[in-house]
Amino acid sequence: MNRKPIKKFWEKEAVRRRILLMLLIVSTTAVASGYMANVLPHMGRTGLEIALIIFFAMLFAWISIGFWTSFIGFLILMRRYNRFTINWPSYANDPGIEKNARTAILLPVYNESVNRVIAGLRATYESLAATGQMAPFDFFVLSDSTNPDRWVEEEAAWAELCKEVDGFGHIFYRHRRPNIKRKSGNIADFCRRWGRSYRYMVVLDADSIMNGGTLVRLVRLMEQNPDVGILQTAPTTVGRDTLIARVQQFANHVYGPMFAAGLSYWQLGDAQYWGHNAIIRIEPFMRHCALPQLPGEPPLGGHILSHDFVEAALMRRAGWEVWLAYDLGGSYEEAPPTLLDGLTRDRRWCQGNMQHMRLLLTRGIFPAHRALFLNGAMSYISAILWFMFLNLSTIEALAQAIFEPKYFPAHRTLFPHWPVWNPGWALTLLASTGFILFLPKLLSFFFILFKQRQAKLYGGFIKLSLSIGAEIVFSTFFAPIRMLFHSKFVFMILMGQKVGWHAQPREDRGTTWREAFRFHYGGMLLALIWGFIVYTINRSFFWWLTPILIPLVLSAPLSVWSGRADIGRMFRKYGLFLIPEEIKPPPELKSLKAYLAKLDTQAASLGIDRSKGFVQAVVDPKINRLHLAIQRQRRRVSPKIAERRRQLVQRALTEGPDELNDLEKKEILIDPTSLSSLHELVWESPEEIFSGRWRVSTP
Amino acid sequence: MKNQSVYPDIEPPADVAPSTTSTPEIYFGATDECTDWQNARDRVLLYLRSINMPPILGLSIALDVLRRAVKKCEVSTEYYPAQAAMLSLHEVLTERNLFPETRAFWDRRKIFCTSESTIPLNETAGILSETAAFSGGLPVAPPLKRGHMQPGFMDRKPVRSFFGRLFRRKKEPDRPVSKRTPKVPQRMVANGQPPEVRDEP
Repeated sequence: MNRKPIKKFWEKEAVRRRILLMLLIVSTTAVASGYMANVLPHMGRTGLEIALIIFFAMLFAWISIGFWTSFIGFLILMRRYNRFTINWPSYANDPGIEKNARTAILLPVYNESVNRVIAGLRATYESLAATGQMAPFDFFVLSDSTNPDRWVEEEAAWAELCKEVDGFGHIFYRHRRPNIKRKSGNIADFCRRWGRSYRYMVVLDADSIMNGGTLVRLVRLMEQNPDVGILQTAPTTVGRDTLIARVQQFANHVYGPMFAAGLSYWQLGDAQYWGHNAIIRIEPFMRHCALPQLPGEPPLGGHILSHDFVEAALMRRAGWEVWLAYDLGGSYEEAPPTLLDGLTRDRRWCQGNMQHMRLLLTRGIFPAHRALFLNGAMSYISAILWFMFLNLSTIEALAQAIFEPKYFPAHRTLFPHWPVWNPGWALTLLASTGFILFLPKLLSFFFILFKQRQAKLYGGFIKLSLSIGAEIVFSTFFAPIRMLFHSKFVFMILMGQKVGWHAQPREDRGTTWREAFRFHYGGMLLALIWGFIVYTINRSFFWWLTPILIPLVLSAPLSVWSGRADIGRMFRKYGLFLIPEEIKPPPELKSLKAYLAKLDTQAASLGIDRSKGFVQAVVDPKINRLHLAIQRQRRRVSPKIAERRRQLVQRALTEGPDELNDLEKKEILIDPTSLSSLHELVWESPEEIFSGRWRVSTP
Repeated sequence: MKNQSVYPDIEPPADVAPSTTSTPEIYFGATDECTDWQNARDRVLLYLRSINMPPILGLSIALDVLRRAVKKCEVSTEYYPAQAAMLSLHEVLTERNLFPETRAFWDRRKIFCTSESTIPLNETAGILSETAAFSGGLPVAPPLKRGHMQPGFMDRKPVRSFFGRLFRRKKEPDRPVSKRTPKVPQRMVANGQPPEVRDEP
């Protein structure tokens, strides 16, 4: 049942603000496109030039959205007053949370590094415990892991954690075997089983950390705003050492707050949900936010990959508000450690955002959410637009060099057609584009320096200035590489190629040269050929293209070097890309580091590596027992299946765990009879099997 | 030192220095059979140590187990020492109800706990020894309280319906009703219960 469509107090203001945004975007785009038309030799009179102007206008409109959002965000932060913020300071002194406001903190995991997940969970748990308001909160590790080793590792780590923090009854573990609908299905499965026991859920990611005070505050805000269905925090990226991740962390800290404030200004109660670090009112979520399956086959049909935007739109369609608490701190996540990891994630997001285009005209979705769908898709489509714009520019430049200009066309004219190339105008246009792109960075600098007065948290005035300069260089270098990959993703999706579901790496592993060349050789080759042709035919245009071509040619080394943690640490040593959490780490991040170090150095039991979860479940009596206990009750199986499993156990015993594939391992793990039999048989086996095949070390 | 409650099963030292020729090789050493028995001993001790068995109790169990294993090997030739020892260990643990999840235990117990209920764990298993306060149980997950999530209405052909709406003159209600029959038990709707909420045992 949807809520009555009551006019919200902020809706009128939201309409006014969005009209203002539209006017600003249209006016700046119109002026810049006019300049562009004047820069072109035929003043936009040829078909090619018209196409160029159209692409330019779309791209300029796209970047001006970011510019105006940041600019408004800057004004809000400078004023330190926002009439429509959800996080009113007066709410801060409210009494504790009532016990009925039961809140589940969900940690969906999928084959992620168990140590990192558990250390993060522990840091959040202890931070919450320190607030003294643990009573209404429960934690759920919702595992979708398909790797049998990870599955057992998670169970053991969960039990150890509960034992260490006395978390039994507050920290729960559930493993789901059929991973239907991926993360959204995982959350929906929780809602179906236990959703009715809780009023709210805080959805985290495997790499999320939240401060206990922030969690309490989120619940209070939800209690005080009964019309709010989803309240999203603005997570800051922390905790990585690789160069590219440190650059992203720095950019997120310096420019992020301004951008988030600006977003909140336009969106008000029509904000988006980013899928994690947000609190959700469960009852309306269960009623209205179940995701439909899109008609047709993936990539554009099937299950919705980027569920978050759609859930926010459905929540809003049902009459509930979705807000962004942009000024609420204590919410953290981690950036992908390497360029290739980031691109792999983008590939998945790209498919999800392209699917949203199919929902763009769906009935009942609010216009603001339609705009968000379009905005999400444009994040990737803009890459292909840029790529096409560059191609058209190249064609225009080559045509100018190859073909003789026709001064006297066939029909009679008073004056000859005189192609004019005005470098001054081109430079003006370049400068104005640069202004749009880089002014927000400058504004952030001023904000930190003069309003926050927190330059020392970024290493001081000089290091902050140098870091911003270096970040601009890095982002300029990586932009063409991302553009090329995003264009490829969009093209592949439109051609019907779907994406798999892989775990996102949560550790600072680098990129090998082999990997880098395998992924980047196409782009490098393209840039070399492109550059050679332009250099040969129109040398003056070649220099205009170098900011695009040089990064593409260097993409493999850039990918390797930017993914190295030692280079990132070197930058840190010299005080570049520092963030406040590194200068003055909050307690929860300190705890995370300490727990992670402790878990990484834990000794192996029975000489079995902790990452060999399956072997542990078979050999280690404690883990074996724990796993059997967590399993569901025994089920009767057909004699055929029983016989197959018996043979599998026999094979596992004689050939050892290395000869089994993941499916076979899982079949043993899900069957208590097979697992307990194998456990006993291994322990009863001769020495060559016990120590040889199963590698148990006896003292 | 000679407190029976602390050393419940240890017999007099004379037992470990037998003088008769019928005594198995286990008591002497320096032969292949002795090496096998040493392996069996190590394995029993390893198992007991890995379940965090208290040291004295563990050693007394090991002694008991090895004696039983020797007898097993005397009676039948189908066992080798490590196998006999481990079989005996499981027997002893089951008899003393120290570590009941052996095959025999599983066969006796038809229904084990579901993942949603509490798990009975014996504290001697070690890993969860501190959970005795939970009256022998470990909550993996809270009790179920089932509800359901049914996807709401969404156009299957939004583009066509959008332009249809755009050019259609007549006014439509804001919230469209799905043409499909809701998959909600009718008795619940008849009872006036909200259709989204469903109680299950």
